[in-house]
This record gives sequence, structure tokens and C-alpha cells, in this order.
Amino acid sequence: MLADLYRRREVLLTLVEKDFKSRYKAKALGRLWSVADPLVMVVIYTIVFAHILRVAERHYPIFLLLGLTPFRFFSNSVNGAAAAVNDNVQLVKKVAFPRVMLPVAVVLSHVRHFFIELGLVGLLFLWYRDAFHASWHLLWLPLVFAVQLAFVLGISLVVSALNVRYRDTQYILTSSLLVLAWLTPTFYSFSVVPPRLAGLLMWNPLVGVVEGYRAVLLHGTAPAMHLLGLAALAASVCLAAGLLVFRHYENVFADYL
Amino acid sequence: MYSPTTSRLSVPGPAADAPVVIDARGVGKRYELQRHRTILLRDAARLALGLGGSEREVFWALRDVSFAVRKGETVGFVGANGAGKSTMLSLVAKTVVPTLGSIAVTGRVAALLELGAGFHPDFTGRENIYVNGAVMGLSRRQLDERMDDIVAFSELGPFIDEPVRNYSSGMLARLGFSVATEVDPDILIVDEVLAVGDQAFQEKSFNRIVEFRRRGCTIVFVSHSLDTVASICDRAILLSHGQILADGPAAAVAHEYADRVSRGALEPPRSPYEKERVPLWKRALAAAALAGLVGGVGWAGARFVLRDDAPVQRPPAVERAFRMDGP
Repeated sequence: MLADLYRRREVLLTLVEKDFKSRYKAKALGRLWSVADPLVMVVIYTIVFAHILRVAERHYPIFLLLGLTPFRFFSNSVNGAAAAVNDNVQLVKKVAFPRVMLPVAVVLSHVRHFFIELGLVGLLFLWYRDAFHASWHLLWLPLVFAVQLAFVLGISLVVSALNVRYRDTQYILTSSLLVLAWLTPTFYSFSVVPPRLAGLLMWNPLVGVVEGYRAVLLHGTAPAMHLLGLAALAASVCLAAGLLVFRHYENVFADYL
Repeated sequence: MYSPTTSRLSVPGPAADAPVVIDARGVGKRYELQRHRTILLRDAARLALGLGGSEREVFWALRDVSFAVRKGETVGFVGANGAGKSTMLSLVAKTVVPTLGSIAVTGRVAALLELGAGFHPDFTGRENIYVNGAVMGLSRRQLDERMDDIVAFSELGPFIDEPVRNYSSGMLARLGFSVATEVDPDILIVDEVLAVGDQAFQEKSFNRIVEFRRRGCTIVFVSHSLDTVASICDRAILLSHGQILADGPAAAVAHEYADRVSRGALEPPRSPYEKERVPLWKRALAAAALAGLVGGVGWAGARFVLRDDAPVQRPPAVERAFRMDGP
């Protein structure tokens, strides 16, 4: 299935381009929207969590963005993937092409957004010079990103396939994302989670990912290996499940659209 | 009474030993009726409560259909509404997978089904050509090379760089037809598309289809116009309620169809409706999913909400405000 994608990468790139462009078509501010959203969020969440609720983290805006950006990448990709097949009814009904391209293109287009938003983190690091740690630990970043991408892809594949067959997937997804938004350490640090909850929460691969980015970029240390290892394990299971579920349902897509 | 017109086209039919490019064997396609479809939460709830149907009704759009099409042949499918013609075309286009049997298709397929419906409304005509062309299998370079031809054939002129949401349905059809026929298909699937566009464009598209035929392209065609089928096709297949009633020279089959309609003799040998048991594992899975959901939320509620044992810490701001001894 993935080899298929590589062989027809040109089509995939066209679809990525389509998804990326379509988000800003017919909108006056165009691409500015992709940074406006996180900017507003950084300001309001920093006021609420650092100044009212007093979460004790240094450089809270960066701390927050390093959690918020990966989570937004996850939730936007999954939401987009849920609609990926359903929104392309006519393409799916008319042309035979690897269906897996539709959700994958959505995820890849959000990878682009993810990097744009990371640019924002870069700007904040320019402001808080002392927050950044240049060290060999930066080499962990590609691995953390790979774990994150595997998890996002896996869930996106499951959701895009199930949503064709069972339209109530959309509703289950909306509430699940809300739950996950709070169970991911975006506003708080995983280190403050009491042990009896931590054992449960750490099965969320985004914990390992978010804490991995923070360890490397903000603390200049290696990621916590037990968290990253668990995240890698859970993410691989999700990716495998995603491919299986998608392959099971893709044959009947046209029947249910 | 229907009488076939003489063929307008002087295109020789394919050689009898031409290779088979579409080979359908015992093809069946079953659809679940919408009202019997599993809806995850509703069904899970029903099962958990021990209510509700273990049977569902299914509809066979096609049943035990076998035929072979040779390279260069032009085959028309005829039949009443709901006979399974469009399902058949989707199977050939490989957008729909058969429930039973197999269908082997050799070569690049282009489908002229519901023209232009796959376009993104906010994209310009040109951008849509790139997306649609790519999905149909053309590389970026091939598309760049053919762009001028596609635009010229569509006769859209300056509108090609307008978002297609502003197009009329005729303009959409022109654009769709231009892209689909520019991909050099080995097999062209045509579903009633000659009815769109104005007279001049209809003529132009008709001529293009004829040109494809002349080049040795295999064409599969659905039309309600028996005249068109008799004049374009070498061969026709009469479908009724998902089953083949006749397969032979186009004029003869068109004749038989018209004859059967007038006699009211289109009844199938078997009813397309059937009852089917819902597999136990599906029901069990749905019940397990629901149990997991209810259990998870219930457990978390009982553990963290009903047992009020969260550590209480006075917020620092409050503490300072109540401190009496001053700084």
C-alpha cells in the first residue's frame, strides 16, 4: 500500500497541493490564517495558565507552543482525514486510484502547516535567547517527529475509512479529540501528573512526543526514553491498525458514498 | 415498434481473435439497503440491551453476470432504470469492487461518468485539470504538454483561469469531457454524457468518441437511446434487474429490448432482494465498543469525580491576600 504511494508520488503531491491550497482559497487573508490561530492561542493560554492559574514553567509561551503545535497537527490532520474520502465522493466514484492517497495527502499537507507553526516557535526562541539549547540532543528530533507522524497517519487512516462506513465516526471523533486535548500535556508538564494518573496517561503517544520536543529544545536533554519508547510502540500499533482497517474498508467506499 | 436505423459509421468491427480486455466472470454486486445499515452506536446500544434485528435485507444490483469484451469492440449496455448498467460501468472502471466473481480489465481506463463532478469549486479550470489529470494517471509533464489542447477543446477561453464555482453546467461538462478524453485511454467508459453541452459540443464529443473507436480504443457505452446504441456499438448487452437477458449484435439486442418492453417481458428469473444474517462477530464488536465507552467514562467518573480525593492547595494569590502580617 505504501509502495503504491511512492510509485504514484506525483499524484500524491498534486493532492497535497490541492488540500493545502484549498484551505486558503477565497479567503482574504490567505495563508496568514495558519499563523493567526496559534498566535491568538499563545496569547490567551499564556494569560490564563501562566498568569492566572500559575503553572510554574519557565518560558511558558515556548513551553506551551511545543505542546500545542504537535497537538494541533494531530487534531487538524485527523479531522481533515475524517472528511478526506467523503469530500471527494466524485473522484472516488469516477476514477480508480489508490484511495489511501486521500487521507495521506491531508496529513502531508498538515505536515507543512506544522512546520510553518514551528517557525513561530523559532521566532519565540529568538526573543527568549536563553531558552534554546544547542546540543547533540537535537539529533533526537527526527525520531520524535517520526513517532508523531506514524501515530497521526495511523489514526487518520482509521478515521477516514470508518467515517465512510459509519457516519457517526465524526461525532465520536469530536468528543475523543476533546478528551485527548486535555490528556495531552500541552498546558501542563507531564512531570506534575501524579503517579497513579501518569501510568494511564503515558499510553497516549502524544505524551512522549510533546515531552520529547520539550526535553530536546527547551531543556537541552535527551527525551525521556520510557515515554518515547512507549509512544513509538503505541504509534506503530496505530499505524499497523490504520493500514489494516483502511485496506479492509477501501473496497466498499464507493458503495457507501 | 422499434426499427434500427442503418449504421452511420463505417468503422470495421474488431478482429475475432483480438485479445480480451474486459473479462467478467460470475460477477455479483450486493448492496445493503440503507435502512438496514449498521450505525455503530445505535446498533451497539441495541445489542447491549438485547434488542433488534439480526437480519438485514440486501439488494443484488448485479447477479451472475459474465461476458468478455475484445480489444477494439464497442459494447453498449441497455436496459430499464435500475437494471444495473451504471453499476456495471463502475465495475469496469474499478471504482466498485464486485461482491462475487471477478472482473479483469487490461489497459488504462477513462470514465466519462457524471462529467466534471469531481472538480473542486474554489479551484480554477486549469488547476482542476492538473488534479483530475494526475488522478487519472497523467504525469505533470504530460499535462503541461497537453494543456493547450485540453483548453482549446473545452472552448472555455479566458474562463479557464476562473474558479469553476462560477461555471455553468455546460462549461463544467466541457471541461470534464476535455480532460477525460485527453488521457489516451485504452478503454473508454461513456455513461449518457452526450446529452450535455450544446448541439455543437455534442457533435464534437460524438466525433471524438468515433475517432477513439477508429484508433482501436475499446468503448463501453450506456445509453437509453436505442438509435445511438445501434449506430455506435458493434454489440449490445441487455440487462434486467441485474441479470443478462440478451447479448449479441447491437441492432438485434436493441430490437429484442424494444420487443420485450412492449410485451412487458423484463421480469428477472430471481428476485434481487434477499435476507441475510448479520454476522455475530460484528454484533459482538459493536457491543464491546459500547461497553468500553460506557465503562471507561463510568470508571473515570466514579474514580475521580465521585471520590473527592483531589489534593487541595490554596492558590498562591488567595494565600497572599489573606495574609495578615504583611510583607
